[in-house]
Amino acid sequence: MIKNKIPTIVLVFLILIPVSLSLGITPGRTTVDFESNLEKTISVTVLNNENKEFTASIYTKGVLADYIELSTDELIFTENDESKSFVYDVNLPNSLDPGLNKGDVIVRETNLGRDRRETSIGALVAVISQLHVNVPYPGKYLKIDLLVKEAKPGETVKFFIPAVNLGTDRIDDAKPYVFVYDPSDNKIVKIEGTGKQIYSKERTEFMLEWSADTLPGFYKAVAVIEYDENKITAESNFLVGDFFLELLDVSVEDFTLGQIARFNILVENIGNKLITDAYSELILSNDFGEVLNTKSASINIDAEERKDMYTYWDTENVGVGEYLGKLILGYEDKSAERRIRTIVEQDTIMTEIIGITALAVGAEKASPKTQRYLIPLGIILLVFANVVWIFYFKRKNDFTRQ
Amino acid sequence: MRNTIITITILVMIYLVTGIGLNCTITTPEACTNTSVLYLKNDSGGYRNAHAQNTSAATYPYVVCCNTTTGSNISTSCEDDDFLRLSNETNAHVQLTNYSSYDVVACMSASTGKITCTNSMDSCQADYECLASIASSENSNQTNAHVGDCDQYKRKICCNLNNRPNRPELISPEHNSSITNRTPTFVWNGTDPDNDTLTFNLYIECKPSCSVDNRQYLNINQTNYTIPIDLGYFWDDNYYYEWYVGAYDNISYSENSTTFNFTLQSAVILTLINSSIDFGNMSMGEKKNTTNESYYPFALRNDGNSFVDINISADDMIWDTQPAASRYFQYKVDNFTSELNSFNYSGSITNWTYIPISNNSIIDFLNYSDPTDTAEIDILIEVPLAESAGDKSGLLTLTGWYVSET
Repeated sequence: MIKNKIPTIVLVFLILIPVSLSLGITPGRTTVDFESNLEKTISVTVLNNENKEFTASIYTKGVLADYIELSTDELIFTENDESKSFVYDVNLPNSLDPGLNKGDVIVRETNLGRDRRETSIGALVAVISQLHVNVPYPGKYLKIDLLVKEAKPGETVKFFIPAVNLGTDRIDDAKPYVFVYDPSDNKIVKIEGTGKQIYSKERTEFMLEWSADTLPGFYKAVAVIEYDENKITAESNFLVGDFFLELLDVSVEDFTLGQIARFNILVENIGNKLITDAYSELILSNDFGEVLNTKSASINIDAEERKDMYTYWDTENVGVGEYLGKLILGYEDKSAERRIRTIVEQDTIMTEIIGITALAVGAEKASPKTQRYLIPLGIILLVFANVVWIFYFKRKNDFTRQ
Repeated sequence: MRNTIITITILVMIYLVTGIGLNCTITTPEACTNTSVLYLKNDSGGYRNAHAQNTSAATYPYVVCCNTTTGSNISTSCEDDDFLRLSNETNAHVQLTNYSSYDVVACMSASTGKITCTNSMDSCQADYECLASIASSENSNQTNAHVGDCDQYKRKICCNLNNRPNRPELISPEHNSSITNRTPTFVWNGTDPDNDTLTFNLYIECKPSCSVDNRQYLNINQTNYTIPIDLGYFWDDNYYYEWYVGAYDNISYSENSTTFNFTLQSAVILTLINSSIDFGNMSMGEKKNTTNESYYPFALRNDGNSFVDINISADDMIWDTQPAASRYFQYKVDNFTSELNSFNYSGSITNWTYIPISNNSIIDFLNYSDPTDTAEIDILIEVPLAESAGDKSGLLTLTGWYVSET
């Protein structure tokens, strides 16, 4: 009786172990160019990342499955087996449909640890090593892509146009052009490259350059290859420059210590397209730690427009002195920061943007209100000084005469 | 005797490896079997307190005669450096090269390596060879000067032959190897005949038609470098990489190393973090799903080195009365809480959908980068009213495959 129960107990134990399943395969794909009756042997490695004991079943699927012969349909792993390899033979027929033909070699963990509690769902993983066979199309067939290596204004933008001749015939002259457009779809420049011959199944590349003497911002490139009476295009958007918000000034007006200071953060959209949800974040610290971390409301800024963003600082418990920190400008997923130094006095806040020459002086210029009292006070002092001098010399002269 | 020979051999080898590489002596033109770089003659026909003559005249009885210990040939070309200026082609006074009032320039160059010249008081600095010494009554002996051998005057004219670094030798990735690490460490050996400190330039080129992924890492001050940005092109799509290294000793560049090829292969590795869901006891018509915190959804992590797409298929539909795809057994893909943006959300199935028997693509472009490489698969079940009582289990297969990024 007990003897009969042992396998059941073991099975229940096995199925109740919480298992993390892992399975790997390399290469994930093998790509070959079609040749009639091609015979090829491809090696595949199955990875047992978690050093488990398991059995993997191997099978094929897809259009090319009939032309794939596996060396085995099962691999048994022990915990010492980090990986195991097998091969499959590819025996291609005399012909296949033009274009990409696919076959899959699938490796799947077999269902050993299946959970059968009350109402339960289990899952297994399978991984595929793909076989891709490119069969040429009749005639001339060029496929291209466009990849752009972006640059800053004044630097060189590089346009890479990988091209592959998927046709049966040679292309005698493939001539590349790139057209660059601004956000309003105005053509800015036409760049012409050198033509070349491309053999059937050959992969080649055109590289064209453009000196981006233009506004920073968003642009569109359209690559055109004219080849033997045919034409193919590809397009891609790209940036000139990488951050289009420029900090111009930081100022605080009409400030008195103890009140709420408003920082006017003047920025410019130096790009050629509207920036949405632009914000600024002001962080200040002193020797004892962070004293301010405040963010402005988000605003939209048109191309080449200057706008103020506002952040506020309640200075009720803030002392006179120097505060260091940073000002972060951001939009979308981009941000840039500048180090700043802020000097708080009784009735001024001066903010210096460290690292750039501009000294943004916030606060009022000795405040018109103060000036109003200072000038008469100065005049009174001068009059008083003159009276004292006159009185002094008069007394001195009187004394000399005596 | 034997020990003496060994000692001498070792000393010679040390000299050849670490020595200055440049030898200059004052001798007669006939005795100079190497390169004459400056001619000398005084009033009595000697070479002390002498006037100078450029090599274009070559009639004076003494020369500064130079050769190298490295096999590099010396010439009087100005490609490398100048060491004195002469007031005339012959019968000339000399001045240091930082003056410009004399028109005739005396120079030295090496066929391999580079010569640099300077002047110093009392003695030449380490690794520099003394050519001659100069003196005058003007400007601290710097112009309108006479020339003597190195022992005569305090101001010495000194030159150094800097040998170019040896050609670096590549170690790994090995030639014609295949790797799966997209940020591999490149390792090479670099040495310098003068034991100078070297910096290296590492060049990686993608082929064919993928030069957008070419890289240059410059001024590396060690003999290995782990690239910071993933290589982008896989052998799976018939792309491969070439790499080579150049060395620089702050004066001369080495010849570039030979070029090694390697391929980057994709590795599709999927890990099911949670591979089973237990909904417990359920009654007829009851509905449960894993968006309820009581039940954990399946979590699938991409531990490979490339983006993957994921299919789902049911090996075993949970309900006996619903053997085909139905509303009683559904799934949807969702962000894994701590790893948002792990996959292309808009291209994935993120609304409740019937689980199919055959494969359906459910996750598009599941990322492989550690911080964002996991997706959740929520499951919904509803007990059909006609279902008989008993334990019920379903089984799904999640299948992943490599997708190209280009």
